Amino acid sequence: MARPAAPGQRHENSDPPDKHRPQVVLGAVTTGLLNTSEPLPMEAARQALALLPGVSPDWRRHPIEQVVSPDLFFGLDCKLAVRSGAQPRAIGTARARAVLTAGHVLQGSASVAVVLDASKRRLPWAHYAARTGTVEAINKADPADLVTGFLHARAGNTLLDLGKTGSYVMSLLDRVPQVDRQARLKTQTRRLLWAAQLVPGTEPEAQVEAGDDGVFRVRMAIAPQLLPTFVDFCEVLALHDWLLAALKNAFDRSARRGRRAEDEIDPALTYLGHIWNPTAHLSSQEMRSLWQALEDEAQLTWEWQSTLTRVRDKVTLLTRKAIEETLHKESV
Amino acid sequence: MLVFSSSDKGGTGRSVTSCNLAYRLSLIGQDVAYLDFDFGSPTAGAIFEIPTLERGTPDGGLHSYILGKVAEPARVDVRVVTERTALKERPPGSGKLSLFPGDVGGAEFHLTNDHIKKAIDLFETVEREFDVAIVDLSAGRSSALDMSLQAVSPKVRPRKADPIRWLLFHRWTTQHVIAASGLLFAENGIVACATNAGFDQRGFRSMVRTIRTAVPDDTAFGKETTPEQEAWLRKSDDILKGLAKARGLGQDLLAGLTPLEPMLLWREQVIMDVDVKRRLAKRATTKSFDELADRIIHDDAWEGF
Ligand SMILES: Nc1ncnc2c1ncn2[C@@H]1O[C@H](COP(=O)(O)OP(=O)(O)OP(=O)(O)O)[C@@H](O)[C@H]1O
Ligand SMILES: [Mg+2]
Repeated sequence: MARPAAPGQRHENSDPPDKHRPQVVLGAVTTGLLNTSEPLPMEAARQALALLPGVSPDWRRHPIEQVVSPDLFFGLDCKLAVRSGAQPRAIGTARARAVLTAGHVLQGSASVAVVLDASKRRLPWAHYAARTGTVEAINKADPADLVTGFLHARAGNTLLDLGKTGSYVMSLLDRVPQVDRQARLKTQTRRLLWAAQLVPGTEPEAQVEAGDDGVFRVRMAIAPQLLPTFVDFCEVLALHDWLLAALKNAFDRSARRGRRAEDEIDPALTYLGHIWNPTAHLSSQEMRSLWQALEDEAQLTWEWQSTLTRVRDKVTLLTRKAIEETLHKESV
Repeated sequence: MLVFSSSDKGGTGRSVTSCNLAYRLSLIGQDVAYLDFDFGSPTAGAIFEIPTLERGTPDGGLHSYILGKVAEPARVDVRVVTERTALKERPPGSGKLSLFPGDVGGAEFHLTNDHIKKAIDLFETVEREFDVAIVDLSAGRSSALDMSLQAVSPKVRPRKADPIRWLLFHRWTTQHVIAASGLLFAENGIVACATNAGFDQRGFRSMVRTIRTAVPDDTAFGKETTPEQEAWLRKSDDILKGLAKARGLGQDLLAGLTPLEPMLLWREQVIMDVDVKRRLAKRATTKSFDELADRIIHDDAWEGF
């Protein structure tokens, strides 16, 4: 879908294209349930997400508990996928962070800003180390082509794979003592890929595509200064896409042969039922409009509400049945 | 729960039975993943009648994943991609059925710690999503078998994790019984390998059960069985039982048996209830798969000797 966002503050930024200014930013958000039976309390979560010694994570309690780790950087020397022609080589660092929502839903979010046609050969590492979160591509490439290539290529071991980076950041939480590896819900990890072309002065416009492979793909043209809020937007979308999938899965599993419905429904309601609140995470007007446009088309919140209603109706029915059975037993 | 399917010889019916088990488990409400670890000849795609995966996937299957070539292994929903119409249907109350195919042209590999780490991650991921994951290992000792044992050894697996089942498939003949027993108990056998990986012997042996495949009954002689044939068959069966017991593969280790199924003599496939209804397959065949499926998910069949 394509939707212009509401007119926010327009940034006049028509500097001539700088050789060292990124034209494309690529990212991936991996979302899954933290492998614990109970959510991490705030204090434990803040400790767990202190992934850099001496840097404390960002956190907030309201309206929903959320802790965001400091950014970590990972050295890269890889190829970028393109639709046609030679794959450009990219060298630099990826930026990644972990986000824990409600002490339970864990995300690994990774991105790189790509400077195209920066040099003809690999430079000393100090050059790249000074530009965190950025990779420089040796040889030319078309930004639109890079975007398509990144969103649709199947990851190979020489290709940039930010999903892997995100998963790695998530795995850092495995060693936290409270993570007992006894999750009470069967869930699948899901992935969202995003790619933004940086266009100074442009109004944000996004295309969101839910693939058959379960991967959300977001393609965007955006003014550079809006990029951080766009990353938030993608994380929020990934979180809510995951929530919806997890609740649907629990509901589906509650109707299985040979299984107690409560065993699936109780943990789903207890741990996931209260988390849905997309706009609470979106601070900028642009991204709220973008979300609204997405809602108009995909009706995510409606789908969540209706799924939640079905789950709760089922609980009501089960409870009534249980009461009737008890009464019946007593009267016999 | 992780279920490993092993056999000494090729052609024992390990893959076909495992696919049928996976299907039956999904029918009784389990979310099932089938992991094709027979890297040299992944056949699950053919058995589930998925044309694009007949000999594994060209696109990052389990073999590529273990070797670190792709970050995530290819996977398909069997009901979505199968060519068999009846199999596409998901009956109410049944669970998911996903196949993680092997790679076209995969092969044996030299096992390293990195591979074991990949396997640990893979098992954890599938166990967090599925109720049961069936891992089809190739015949005999293989890197995949060593890797699997190390990836689930008590050294790395949390004590409170879901149970593990180790199935040993063999045909019901003298040679197959001897070979299967060898694979399990010989000097370099599975039990020794498991002990090396960190299992205690008793603990590991309590996870192992055998499945006798394609066991003939007296109908195998044809329509008119003579009393002599019947008597001979009973005697041969008794001799085999004696042999199995003497070789440590007795009744106590038996998870079940599958009858000789004529349909499977022609074609490696999932036997569905419609096949029985159409009077193509034997009722005893689907019944044996159901019993096996039931036994796998119920702990009581795996407790004590
Ligand atoms: N119950 C049965 N009755 C008759 N034939 C069977 C039965 N089970 C399996 N078969 C047949 O036995 C043959 C071998 O089966 P399968 O391919 O499953 O063996 P395998 O042990 O996986 O072999 P490999 O080691 O080569 O992978 C197949 O043709 C299959 O259809
Ligand atoms: Mg096989």
